[in-house]
Amino acid sequence: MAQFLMIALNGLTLAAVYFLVASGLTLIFGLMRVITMAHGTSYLLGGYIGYVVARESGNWVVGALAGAVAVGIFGLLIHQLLIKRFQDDDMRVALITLGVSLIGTDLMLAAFGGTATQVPVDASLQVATVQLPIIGSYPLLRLLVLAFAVIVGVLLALGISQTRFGAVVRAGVDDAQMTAATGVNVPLVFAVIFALGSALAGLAGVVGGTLFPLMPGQDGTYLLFSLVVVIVGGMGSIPGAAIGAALVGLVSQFTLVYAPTYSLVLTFALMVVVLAIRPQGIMGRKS
Amino acid sequence: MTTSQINASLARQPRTGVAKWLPIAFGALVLILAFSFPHIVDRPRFWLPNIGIRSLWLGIIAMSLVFLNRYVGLLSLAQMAIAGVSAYTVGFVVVKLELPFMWGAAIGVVVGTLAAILVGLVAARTKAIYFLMITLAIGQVFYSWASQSIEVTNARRGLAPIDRPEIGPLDLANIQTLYYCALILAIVCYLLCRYVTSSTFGLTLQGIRDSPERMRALGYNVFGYRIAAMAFAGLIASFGGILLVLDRNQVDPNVVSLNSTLDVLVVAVIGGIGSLGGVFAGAVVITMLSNFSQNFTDRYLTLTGLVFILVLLFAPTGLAGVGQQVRRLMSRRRNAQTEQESPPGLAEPPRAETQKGTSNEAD
Amino acid sequence: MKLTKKGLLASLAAGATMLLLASCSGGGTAGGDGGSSDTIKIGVLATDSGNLAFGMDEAKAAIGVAMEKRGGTVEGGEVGGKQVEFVYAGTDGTTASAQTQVKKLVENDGVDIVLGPTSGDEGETVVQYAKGVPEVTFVNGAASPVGMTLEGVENFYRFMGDSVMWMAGVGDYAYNDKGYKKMYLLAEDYSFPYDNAGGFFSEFCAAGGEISGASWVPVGNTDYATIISQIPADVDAVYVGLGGADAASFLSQAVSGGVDKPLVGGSIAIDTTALSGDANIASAAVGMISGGPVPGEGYDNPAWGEFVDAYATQPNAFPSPSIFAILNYNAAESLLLGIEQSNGDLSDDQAALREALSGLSWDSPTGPLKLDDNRQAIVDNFMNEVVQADDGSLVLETISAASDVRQGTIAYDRFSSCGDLK
Repeated sequence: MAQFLMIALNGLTLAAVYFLVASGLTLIFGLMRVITMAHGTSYLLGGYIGYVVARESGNWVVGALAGAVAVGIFGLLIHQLLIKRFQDDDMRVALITLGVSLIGTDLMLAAFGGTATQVPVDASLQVATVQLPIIGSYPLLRLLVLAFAVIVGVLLALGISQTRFGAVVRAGVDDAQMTAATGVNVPLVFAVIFALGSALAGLAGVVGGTLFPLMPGQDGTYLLFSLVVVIVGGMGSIPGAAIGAALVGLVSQFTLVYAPTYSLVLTFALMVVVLAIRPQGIMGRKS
Repeated sequence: MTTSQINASLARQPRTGVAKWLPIAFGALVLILAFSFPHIVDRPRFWLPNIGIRSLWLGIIAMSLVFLNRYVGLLSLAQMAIAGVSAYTVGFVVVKLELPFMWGAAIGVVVGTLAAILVGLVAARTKAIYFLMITLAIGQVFYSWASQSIEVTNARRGLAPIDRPEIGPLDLANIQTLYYCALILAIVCYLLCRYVTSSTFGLTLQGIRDSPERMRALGYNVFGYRIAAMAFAGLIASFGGILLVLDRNQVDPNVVSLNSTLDVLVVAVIGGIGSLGGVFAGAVVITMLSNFSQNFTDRYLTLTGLVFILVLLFAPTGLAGVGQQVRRLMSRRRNAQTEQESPPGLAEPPRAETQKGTSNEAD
Repeated sequence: MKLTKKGLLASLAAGATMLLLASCSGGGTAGGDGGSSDTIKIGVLATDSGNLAFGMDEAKAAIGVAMEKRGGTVEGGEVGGKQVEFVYAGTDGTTASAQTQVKKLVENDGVDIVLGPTSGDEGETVVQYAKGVPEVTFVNGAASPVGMTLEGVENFYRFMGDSVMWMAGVGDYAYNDKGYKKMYLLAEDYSFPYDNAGGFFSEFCAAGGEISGASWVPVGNTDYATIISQIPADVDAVYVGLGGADAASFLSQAVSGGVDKPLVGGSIAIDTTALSGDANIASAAVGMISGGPVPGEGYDNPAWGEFVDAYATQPNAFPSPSIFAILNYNAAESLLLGIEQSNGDLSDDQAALREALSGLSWDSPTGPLKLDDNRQAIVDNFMNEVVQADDGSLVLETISAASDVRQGTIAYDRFSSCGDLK
């Protein structure tokens, strides 16, 4: 029992990182109906920037902010320079951002090298554990990451359902043309959302880079996992991303124990199963 | 009027004079070049495998992608994985079962096509961007499996050696013989694609691409047609996979890695993602870059990525469209008021507007 | 016919470019036919992108050290009365790019000898390729798979131990000196860790030890929390067959997860970059023993000191030579010694050079080096331990060296008990 709960908790804390990455992707898709294939690049870039800044400043929070802001600006640049013109051509946006990710992979390798790094945290925080019922001692750091993801998720969900900006976003999702006709500056909203979605990936990079290594290849890995998460959860839905992330995290950890050889295969197979039963994803809307 | 209609009407215009014989002359010239290639290059033992044969199998696999994109409106990133399935089947049959190569090739093509049907069953209910994401993920499922399954794929070590066979009078171990076989296979695949696209089946597919609702209303089984198209593209990709094994003499997970998948996409886009023949131009560019870019830059991927983005931004019809763009420019100058302003689409003709929806379920 | 036009036009354009480039690149020397020429061309195959991107710099540093001793440079110089020229080809560590680049070196650049490659996957591919070009001599760079020298490829030479030999002596030491009786096996799930762990556990089990369980972690997994929780409480030590990034990640998560077992590392589990990194791994890493071809602090061999000093003067050198630098150096130096002993004679399918290489015996920075009948090196192997220096920094210290280590004939697969190894 203790072991089962331990694995489940590991799965959920891993899911926290997946959710942070995927939330940006699903946010962008929800409003703009485009998928950015440079999302993994944003994750890794954010992680690297967070690593450098946190190391120089000695402060993790400064690093996290720097990672998020810098990648937000990076996203804004991509949006303005490359994909704004092709807003209605989702396929071309996907392919252009794929090109961006090819270049990003190569340039990050040149800049940060092939060896792995990790965003530094205070040594006392790294070894701190808390006593949980049944499970026993558990690393505090992982629980903090889980809590952080929950807070971000709740803020995003509230932001979309409760604020005026959220209302505009929801209106844009339903009918962008009609929204524009009511005087909303839709291009501005798009730019803000794209930057925000990228910033979330950058932030996820710093958080993920604190628990796990940052190295070449992680960009592709996190792009794939976030795609699987949003496909499973339903594209465009924040609660869907949370559910998708939890499923992917749990499946990957349980399979690691019970079928380690095919752990990754089974994690991806989850997506196939969901698609077969519910093509629009768990929380996806059927038009 | 959409771009596709413009293109269609352009295509329907009767050609006169130069326009009529030019393509035939070009075709003949390309074929002459391709057939004399082993005799013009200075180091055939380098040029034939590294540029020639590699371009041909990359091109064939990319052609299956282009076929699906242009005539079915589905951009599949699983084509490399399907080619990989057929390549792995050859490897399994030859290395593990110790049967002759031709057995492997025959079974490989069948298994590759079946794999394509499976991919279709999972993915063909979705469309456009969803289809792209799902096929990408399916490709990665196969990659993960291939890297782990010691019993079947020999995991990371891969299946080797797969020696080039002698088939009757043809000794494929001779690099020149192999090149000509590959060239003929590529031509056959091309003609096969052309034949299918102009058949009733192909026309139905294009009808489904442009308006699935209407075709469904007319009583067509849209899903079934899509699966059939996937199967045909899978067959073509499988041929590419067989050629890949002949070229590389081994098969390992690297064959179906994310990078290899993207290679095929880059080839298709640079060649012109709407052109069945253009893929070979794209493949030549990519193989040349991968062989020679080191002479002037350390950043091969950055270079590839830049070319890729520039093509998408400014020449969405790729290398294959260069001639057409020039012609369009000229006709625009001649006849400014009749030529309509039309943003270039990704596919040529581009996907119909109806393909973009709010749900990832098809139609 | 009208629809074909675009495709054909494009193919034509590409074909023309191709021919243009073909005629341009034809300017190279007519190498490959060896003997008659006064220049010996050596093609160097090393990784310059991907996760092992530093492989090329390390190979160049190694060649720089070997050539500067002879008054030459990393580009070439005079060796054995002949002009030696190096041609470098970078790969990304995958078999596909190794195949492309080795073909380019041999067929297009016309090299007489290939030195390389870096990674194990590439190594097996290059050996397959070497079979088909018997007129070219291949000297392995840093690739360690067991099978490479067991296939009877006559023109392939390896002046380093394989991945099984890299753990020689460690299994005995763990059982007899450290007193570990039951161990848990945790390693990445691919061929290198199989062989590496096989080398350790074949000794450990033969000495009387027991494997109480195994976790083969899929390549690409970075979250070790669950795997750490699987380690049974009653084991004496844990074998960590992870490399580079994964090892660092494991160590830092082991610190968080409160692992209090002693660790035994595979040959690539500890490297100096991980030890000097920012991650807080001291409490898990100190006391970890491992085996491999690179000696640590306290290794008493003047040749090693000379090599380290010469290495430090090379461009892009790390603070201390990595495994790739020392392996490539031993390979390059052996090759140059062979060329000197055969007076650069490459005639008769390089027979004189090959005879010289086969009979070579010299004192390398890592101890005496000679070849067995399979053209596979007989080497010294090192056992190192992570210790904490007075200033708190972590260093790798050599405890002992096993000498005259010879290659076995077993390549290992996944195993989870001592019984599987028999």
